Amino acid sequence: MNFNDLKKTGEVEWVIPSSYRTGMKGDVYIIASHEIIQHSLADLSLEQAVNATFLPGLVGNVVVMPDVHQGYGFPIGGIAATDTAGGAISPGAIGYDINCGVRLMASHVTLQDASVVLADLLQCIYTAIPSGLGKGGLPRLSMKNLDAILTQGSGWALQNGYADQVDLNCTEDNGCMKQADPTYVSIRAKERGLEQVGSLGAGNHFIEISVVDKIFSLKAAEVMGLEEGCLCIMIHSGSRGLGHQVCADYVQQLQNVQSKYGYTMPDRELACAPLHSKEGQAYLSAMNCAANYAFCNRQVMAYRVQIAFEEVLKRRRKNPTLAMVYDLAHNIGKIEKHSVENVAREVCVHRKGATRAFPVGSSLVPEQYHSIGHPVLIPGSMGTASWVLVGRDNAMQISFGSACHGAGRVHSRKSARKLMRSEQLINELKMQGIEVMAGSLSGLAEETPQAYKDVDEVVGCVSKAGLVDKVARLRPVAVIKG
Amino acid sequence: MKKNFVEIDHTADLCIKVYGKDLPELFCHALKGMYAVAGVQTESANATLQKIKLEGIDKETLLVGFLSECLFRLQQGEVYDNPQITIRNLKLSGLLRQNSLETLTREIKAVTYHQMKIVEKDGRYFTYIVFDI
Repeated sequence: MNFNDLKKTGEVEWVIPSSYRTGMKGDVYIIASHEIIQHSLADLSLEQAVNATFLPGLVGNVVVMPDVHQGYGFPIGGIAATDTAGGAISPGAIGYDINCGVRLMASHVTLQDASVVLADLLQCIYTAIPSGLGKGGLPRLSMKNLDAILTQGSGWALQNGYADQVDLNCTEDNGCMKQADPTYVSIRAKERGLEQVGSLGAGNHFIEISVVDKIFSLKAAEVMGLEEGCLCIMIHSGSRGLGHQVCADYVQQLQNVQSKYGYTMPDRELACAPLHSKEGQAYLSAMNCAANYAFCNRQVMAYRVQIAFEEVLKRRRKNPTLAMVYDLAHNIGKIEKHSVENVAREVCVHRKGATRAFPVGSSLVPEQYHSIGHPVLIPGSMGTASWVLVGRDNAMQISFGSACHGAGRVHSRKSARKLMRSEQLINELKMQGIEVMAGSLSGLAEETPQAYKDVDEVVGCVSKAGLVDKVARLRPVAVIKG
Repeated sequence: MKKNFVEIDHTADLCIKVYGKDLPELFCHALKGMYAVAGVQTESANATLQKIKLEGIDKETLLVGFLSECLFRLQQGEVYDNPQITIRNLKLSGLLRQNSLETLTREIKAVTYHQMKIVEKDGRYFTYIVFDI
């Protein structure tokens, strides 16, 4: 694919028409600046988006966000909706880290008040939350308890003292996906999940202490409890080994059944089955279980982070609290109702590296955010800003109520290692006032901010496209990398 | 000397290109490549032999199945070297020498089918393998 295959339709809008390749069931609609488009043409991300248009029962267009980068079948930063009546569901279009997502908590403690204990806070969180490879923060669960987590998600955390009702109210789908039957999760996946609840994991997962650097919407910031100059904590993690195994199990199983349904996908990683087939329903149920595991995992970590925050900060201030802002999924499949060309359709929205961005008035916006829209949390890349946004009307017209999920990579891990050594990166971040602790030094260099796109430009694109409004920008001051 | 595998640039994940004179050797080199990108170090003091038996609908499902099985066992702390495997009629069987995992520096989430196509050319097999990390 080259630049001439793209049609520019707006300031930050581009289209790959369905005439690009025979068999495409819709266009690819891209939100990107000119520079970001150039990055996207340098790898296979847009070809992967074209492949995604072959999903049976595709409704509308495949939509690509400006944080798009090459994945393994379906691009990261992509959205595809399929009709629930006759359309397909594809595990690979949701990803291996099912319900990888972000949680944000906010305080009214200023950085100035906290600065002398910041190193203690970082150490305390690092000790409380297992990171990197291996086991989690809770003792090995019984199979009965694991099944309860798979069915109830954050509800299990509430029942067991790791959450309060506000946490659940401020979690996407209240932290519990329905139609989650643990009998569709393999013993192997469960075995991997028994010892990892309450753990961060490795790779690009992190816990970040940041300060509210700039507020763009006073009203929305007030509703969310964000105050300029005050500390926030963001957790980025997912469903750990259990989710990886669920996806791997079903990608493998669906290789064997596609022909039965007459499906031939351009990439085997997009293997799929009709949503209403027994295989499709089995995967949907297992995926929901893994999503519930991830909600519970982030909830248990958040509970421990809140305790650490209060323990350390009470030395500086009376009754310091870290309040829940929101917890969301950015690798997930959701059954939702959308208006497509003025016709109400029930669709399965595959969001792989994409975030719900419903506007004011949507019934799926949590009650406390009805007046501002669905929160969209955009983690940055250690040395760069993270963003808090809210969904707008255009997201419903363009992207099935979705926006971007991060900065998006531009450099491979191999070339990132050449750009920067881990020790050098730690020193450079320290000079910028950012402390870093890492579960794995070798993986740290691969996550250097230089390996990512400019997150401010990415957010600028989705804002210009009218998918979101900016609420606040967060500046990192300390990071724990998995 | 011909390489058994090389790392290939991939924006978000990790990709290797693997070579072998026949399918069993290709599979063994793929396993070595997976361990290499995961940064596996082993303790070989108490090595034992483990059986493996798998089926696939084609060569690629067999390779993904083999690597996924070894990945799962890696997560249980088991590492294999010197695999003695045979592949006939899309059925794999053999013995793996099991060692204990000493260190691991990278978490591999999954072995994917993306870009995987086992090709035989000039008497040598090769394929790309993308790991989700």
